[in-house]
Parts: sequence; C-alpha cells; structure tokens
Amino acid sequence: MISRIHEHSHDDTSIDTGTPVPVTIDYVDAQLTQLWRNVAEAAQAKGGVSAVTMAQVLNLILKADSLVATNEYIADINNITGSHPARVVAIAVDPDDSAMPVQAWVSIHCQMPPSGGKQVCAEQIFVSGGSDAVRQIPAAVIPLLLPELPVFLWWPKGSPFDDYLFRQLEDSLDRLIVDSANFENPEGTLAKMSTRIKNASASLMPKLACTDMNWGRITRWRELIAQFFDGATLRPYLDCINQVTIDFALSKHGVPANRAQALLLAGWLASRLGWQPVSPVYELTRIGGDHTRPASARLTLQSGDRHITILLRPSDEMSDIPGDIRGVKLEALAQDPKGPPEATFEISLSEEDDCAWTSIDIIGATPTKRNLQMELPDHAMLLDAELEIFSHDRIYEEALAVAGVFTRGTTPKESEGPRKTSTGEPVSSGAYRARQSGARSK
Amino acid sequence: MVALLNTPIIANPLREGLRMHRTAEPCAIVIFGITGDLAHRKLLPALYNLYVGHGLPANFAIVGFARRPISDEELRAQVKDSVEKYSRNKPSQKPSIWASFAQGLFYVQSDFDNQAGYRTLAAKLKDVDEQRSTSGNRLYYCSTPPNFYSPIIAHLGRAGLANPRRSVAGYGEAFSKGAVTSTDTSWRRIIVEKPFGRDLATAQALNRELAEVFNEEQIYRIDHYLGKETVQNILVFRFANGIWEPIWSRRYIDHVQITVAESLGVEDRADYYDTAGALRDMLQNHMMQLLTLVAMEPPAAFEAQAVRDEKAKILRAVKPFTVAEVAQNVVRGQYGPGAIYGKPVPGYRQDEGIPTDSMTETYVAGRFYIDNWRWSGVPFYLRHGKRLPKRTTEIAIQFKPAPLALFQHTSADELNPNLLVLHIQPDEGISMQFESKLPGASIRLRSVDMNFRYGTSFGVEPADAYERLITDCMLGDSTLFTRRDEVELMWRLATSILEAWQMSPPPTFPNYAAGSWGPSIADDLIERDGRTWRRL
Repeated sequence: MISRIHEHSHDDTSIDTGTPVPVTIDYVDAQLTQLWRNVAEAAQAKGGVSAVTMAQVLNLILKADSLVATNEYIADINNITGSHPARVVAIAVDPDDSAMPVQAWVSIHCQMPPSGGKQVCAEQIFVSGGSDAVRQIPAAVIPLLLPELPVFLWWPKGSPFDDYLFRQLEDSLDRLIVDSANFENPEGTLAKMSTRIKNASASLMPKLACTDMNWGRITRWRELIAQFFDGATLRPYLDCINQVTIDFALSKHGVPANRAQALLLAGWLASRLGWQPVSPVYELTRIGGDHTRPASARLTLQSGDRHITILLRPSDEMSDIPGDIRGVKLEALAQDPKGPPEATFEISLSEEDDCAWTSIDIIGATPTKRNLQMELPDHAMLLDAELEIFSHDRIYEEALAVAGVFTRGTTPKESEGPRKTSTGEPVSSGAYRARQSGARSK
Repeated sequence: MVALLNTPIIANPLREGLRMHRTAEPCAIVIFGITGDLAHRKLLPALYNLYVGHGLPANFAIVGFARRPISDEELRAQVKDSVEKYSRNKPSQKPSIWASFAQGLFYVQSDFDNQAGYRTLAAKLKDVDEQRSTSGNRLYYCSTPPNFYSPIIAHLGRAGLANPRRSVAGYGEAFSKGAVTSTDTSWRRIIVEKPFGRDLATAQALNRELAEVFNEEQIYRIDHYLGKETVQNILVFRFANGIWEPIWSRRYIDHVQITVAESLGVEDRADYYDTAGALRDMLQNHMMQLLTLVAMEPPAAFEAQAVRDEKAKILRAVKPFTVAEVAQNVVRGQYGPGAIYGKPVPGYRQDEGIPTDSMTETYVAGRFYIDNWRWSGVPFYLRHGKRLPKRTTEIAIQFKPAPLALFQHTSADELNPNLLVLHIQPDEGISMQFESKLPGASIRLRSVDMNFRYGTSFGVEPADAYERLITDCMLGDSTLFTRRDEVELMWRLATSILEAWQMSPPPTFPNYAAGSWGPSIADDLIERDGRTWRRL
C-alpha cells in the first residue's frame, strides 16, 4: 500500500515545474532535458534538498476520453510517482473537436518520499488531438516510449479492443490495464478478453498481458476467503462447498447491473478449486419474481459428483463502483436438504466504513465471528499494485478463462462439434478443460 | 519484498498468487509477563497490527500470565491504552475492530514459580480452545525478567504444556483429553527473549533447561535485529545479485566496520544495564548476528537449518581471544557528563539507579578476524556505545583502493576507496560511494554517493520486526531465530573478553564525554592499522 503525501504539486514536498510546456513531438526529449535542468536548479535554490533523483522504471500510457478526465487520472499517477516513477504519456482525444491537431506538452512531476530524503521525479508528456487526428496519435506516442522498459497501457474507461488507437499500440505494449467496472457490456467484453488470452497463450510468444482494476478490487475478498482455509482443520471443507452466494452492489449512477467483479470472483474460485462449469452454466433468475430489480445470475458447476451453485445476487446497496462486491457466503449444505448447512463461511461489509465481518459457523463448534479492517482501494492503490507485475498474472488469466466460459456457454461434448452461443461466437473450451484436469488440488 | 524464506508447498489452493503466502494455523499465544514493558510497548502493538492487517489466524487467543491481580477486563483496558500509545493502528480509529480483537484477550494471575498457576493456565487454555477454536496450538512467549525463564520452562514441562505427546497424568490429563487426541498434530513453540544468559556457562545452562522440556525445533530464541527488513535484505542483496559474490572477499575488501550508535543513555533499564553492559547488551548478540550475515557463505537453501549452518560456521571461525589478545583487540568505555543534541546530560554514574562507582562499560569496540579462506586477514571493526552523538546503525564495507594513481595531480592517497554501506537505522537503505570527475577542464575527483532507501523505493515503511518474527514463529519458520550452537558460539567469544577484563586492571572510567564518538583508545585501536572510524 502506498502512502500519499500530497494531492497537488504546489507544496513544500515537491518542486513546481510550472504548467506543462507546449512542444512539438520531435522536440519532446530536448525540452525534457531543459526541464530536468530547471528542476535540479530549483532543488539547489531551495537548499536542504541537495539533489533530485531522476527515475523511470516503466512507460505508462494513459488513454482518457477527455482532457478533464486525463487530469483526474494523472492525479492518481502522481500519487504513485514515489513507488513507480514512470515516463507517463497521457493521450486525450477530444471527440467534440474534430479539427484539433496533435499537440504535446511536457512537464516533470516530483514527489518527496514519506520518510524524507531525496525527491523522486518523473516525466509526463501529454498528447492530445481531435477526432480527426486519432490516426496520427500512435505515430506520435510510439517514439516517445523509453527503450527497454516495460510499457503499460491504462485504459480506465470502456473496452479498448475495437479501438483504432489500441490496435495500433498493441504490439508496443507489455501490459494492458482495463477496468471492467466501466465496461458498457461487461459479460460480453470479459468473454472477448478471455478468448483473446486463450488465443494468445496458444501462440509461441504470448506477449500482451491483460489485467483489470476489478481484479485488484477483489484481492481483499480473495485474501479473506483464502484465510478461512489456511488452518488444516478447516481445509477439508473446501471439498464440501456446494453453494456460493456473491452479493454485488448496483451503481449509484443507474447503469445496468455490472456482474464483472462477481464473475471474476466466481471464476477464481472455480479455477483454483477445479470446479467445472456444466450446462446450463449461466442462467438469469429473478428471485421472488421481482421485476423491478436486475436479475440474479445462477452458475452451475461440478466437481466430481458434487454439484455447486454460485449465485450472483444484486444487493440493495448502491456503490460508486458498479458491481462492487458487498458480501460472499460459502456453504457446505447438509445431506438432508431441510437441515441447516454443515458449515458456513461468510464475509460481509459492515456498516462501519472500511470494516467487514467474517464468520465461521460449523455444526457442533462455537461460531467464530470477527470484525476486520477492509479498506476500499482507490485508483492509485489499484494502479500501484498492478504496476508491480511486469508479466502475465496467471491466476487472473485462469479466473478470467472460467468467467469467459460462464458468459460464453458451456463446454460442448466432443461429438457435438462446434456450437454457437446466442451471440454467435463459436465455443471452444478444449484448452480450458485441459488445464482444469491439472489444476485440481488435494 | 522478496520472500526470503522457503515456505512449504502451498496446501491451500486459494492462497496461490496472493501476496501473503499463508496465515498461521489457529493458536493461543501465551505471554508470560504480559503486564511488563516489552509486552505493552512491542508485543501487544505488534499483535494488534497483525490483526488489523489480517496477519493473525481467524481463531486466535492471547492469554496473559503475570503476577498482578487483574481481571480479563482490566487487562483488556490496560492493553487498549498501550496499543493506543505505541501502535501505528489505534483502537480509537476503529473501535469495533478493537472490540473484536479484545475478545481474544485473557488473563491468568500467578507467580511464575507456582505450580498451581500452571494448572490454572492449562484449564484456561482448554476453555480457550473450546471458546475460540484454537486447536490446541500454543505459542509461549517469555517476556519476563530473565531470572524467571528457568521456572517458567520447568513448570511448562511439568504441567504437560510443552508437548502434547509428553502429557503427564495429573494436571496435563484434563487438557490432553480435550482438543488433543491420538492423531494430534498440534504444536507448542516457545519464544525466549534476550538476554539469553549472561556468559557461556549460564547460556549453556539455559539451553540445557530448555532442551529438557522442548525440542530444538520448538525453541525460538529471538533477536529482534533479524526481524528488520534491511537486515534480511543483506542476504537478498548478497545472494540475489551476481555482481557482489566475486568481489566479496579478502581480495577486494579492505575491511568492514559495523557501528551501532545510540544517543540515549540507559533510560529506565538501569538495573538490568548495570549488570549487563555494552558487550552483553549489544555486541554479543545483535552485532555478531550482523557480522555473520555479512560474512557467511551462500547457504544451500533459504531455509532455517541451511542458513543457520552457515552462520554458525562463521561464528566458529571467529576464535575466542586470549587475555593478551583482548588487550590488543578490544576496548571499553563509559560516558561522563556531556551534551546530546545541544542539551546537557549527566554521566553514566550520575544516571538514576546507577551506582556512583559503577565499572560497567557503556562503549565497546573491537577488531575481529574470521579465520576462513574468504576472510583471512580482513579485520571486522565493531563499535557500539551509548550517548554517542546520534542514533545510527550501519555496516560499511570498504573496498581496497585503486592500485595506481592514474590521473594527473592526484595521488593514490587522494583516491577515496569505494565504500558500500548498508544502513540499518534510522533510514534503512544501501549506498555506494565511488569517485567521479568534477566538471571542468582539469581532472579533479570527488566522491559521490549512489543511494537506495527503503522508504523511497518501495513507498512503504518497513513492518515492525516483532510483527515479522511473531508471524514466522506462528508459521513454524525459525530462519530468523538464533539456534543453540549460534548462541553458545557467540557467548564463547564474549566470555573470553569478559574473563580477560576481569583479570586485567580496572580501566579509568569515565573515559568519554556524552555526545562524543567514544574514548580515544577506540581511535587508537583502528588507527594502529592505518585506518579510521567512519565519520557518521
């Protein structure tokens, strides 16, 4: 986790490099050299601070919808300069101004480490253009990337996959960071992402690694769920779970239900525990026939003879983040369907901010209930965590692969041949099945 | 941070890919001396921070054992005040989280040398197992004055609390009928605080007493220096970077300086300190540990036995001194009145609780040699003192200078040797000093520093050493704890110095002013070799 020391560059902990300096693309590097000189002089003039540390450990391209949005995201990036000093190339395309040519500005952002000492400075380049200039932007961005350093693309809103800019940049990227909380069609885009990853992993050199801010948001849930089963005495219950309920919040802003987080969490459980999706794998149901609310999704899986149901249920709560998980319950049901469950493991956000209740209730044992801290990670924290990983996140990719199966349809029998889902996409889950056979743990 | 230790195969399939490899099995932590200073300043804040960071198992309990007659509720209130004062996470920030933590706190009142008290403890632990599902796992923490270690260990053994399979009929019986069954896999571990003995004989005696009750795998001798991130980073730095190994030897290294400087005096530890002194308090344990980490050979694996085998080999290669050698290689000092940070401070003998004729040393410096192929002839200079001008701990590795003065108007004397400094505190980090050309037409050289700081590079404050060590103990990983042979080898060396001091004429104390860098004899010690102490 990172500590933030300032929100803005005009205070004692940073050096003011002034407003971004406009510059033509081919002059960016020369202008940056000049700025570094200014920064070093400013640092000397301040006294005390004897030197600034120029550091660039990665390239980070940001693609935002507008200049206003760019500034918001840049504030998040600034907060992690200390831990991930990067050459930032922020791209803003203004869809309303078709005639705006490609323009660039440069600036240097410095951050004082929380423990004192030397400040860390990094370069920021802003590239913007109107909708007509989109085709020139990739050619402006690619030469600006520092050689031999990993290239991240942060695409905080919407799906990049059909975007011209993304397709042009794709070969230059190592890692793509999207946010499925902001997808227009989360199920469809997750399915598409999982297909891309599967196709890429079939190639000899899988290059572009994808990740999702929503995956970072469920890390805290994954940790608490995993913790239930760290003790050897409770681990056997992992092999008895047959019902999982995941509650997710609806958006405050009234967009349709976004099940992306819940699907990723379900995909993670299934991929780690070797649960196989079986037909009908994904059904929308309205509990109690209430048509005023979005439907719940019921996922059907199997592990050996055991049937497992995962219910993704919209909660009554609203959140700024569409589809943010509110609670998770794992149950091992009794043989007698009327009896109470043999074991229940539950985590739910408590009413107090940043806290959650976790409880373990097992027949014949004293129930355990704990109140724990559970901080909601913001953009800067999520970005900080994602930038630590330079390559493929296998656990995420396996979770996404199963989430993709949920939303695409189930595995066909070999004899049935290729089948089409309602979206017309062919289903081929052979690779998925092959992996599952090895993933089962003791 | 690079995971230092080989955690066993991840048996929990959900743990894969998560930053925290695993949390411990359910357990009850028994703190002997829970009303004492160490427990309140360090252990309980560390346990609360672990709880907040999800580092404690879901089923845990903390059972305090001490003499003061207080109830569970009073203990909880006292602990709450201390955690509020000393912890980075405060109960007042999240009262409900504190309440949830405090439910796991219990108290047993007893003298440490009273058998009945351990029967009460056994019964309490059985209750706790039922109430909190702690599965019969026990972590005993000796946080009492050292004279109580022996009775605590002996009584734990007699009460059958030390080992489930050694349960003795009588008071162990009720207990073993509870959570413990024939297929019992529960564990018992004991953490022993410093000081671990006061010379070789007492350390050996304590080891024997421990061995009568516990197996070596159950014993965790704590040295909180090993819990510090930068100390662990010494191993990562040396063995995860290929460039150091070839130059890490007598061929390229001129000498090593290890400094632990404190600006504080004895504070409220006068009673203990006056019977211990600087050699026992710091050099014998913490500084020798730093020395082993710098000097050890690469271990076969990053696991407890392999790492400690290599450390013990180094300690075996530091030969104990003869009386004559002590006079040549070790000096001691005691501070007189002076000033620290611009404020006048009294001398050691004027400090509260210190006899006015005390002959206890508050400063010690020594020159040590490691007799093996890698280090033969390379002196390791160690110094430690109280009331020095500032608080700093570092290890400086000085390389041999460039062999030839190549540049005009420079001579070999003007070339500063390359220096690699591992800063342990206050600012954890690593710096490298090398020569560079000053801008201009002529060749003029200047030493410049290349700096890496923990707080800056990782944007996080390193976790407290106790949090790390308690977690490791709960997980059964003893890599960062001191093994029996290490402790005895460290005492063998320290005892040779103590005995020589006893036989030699008493030194003239005080011999350095508070706020100075120690006695002049310490300068003589290093300057005889044509070297100087680093100015810090």
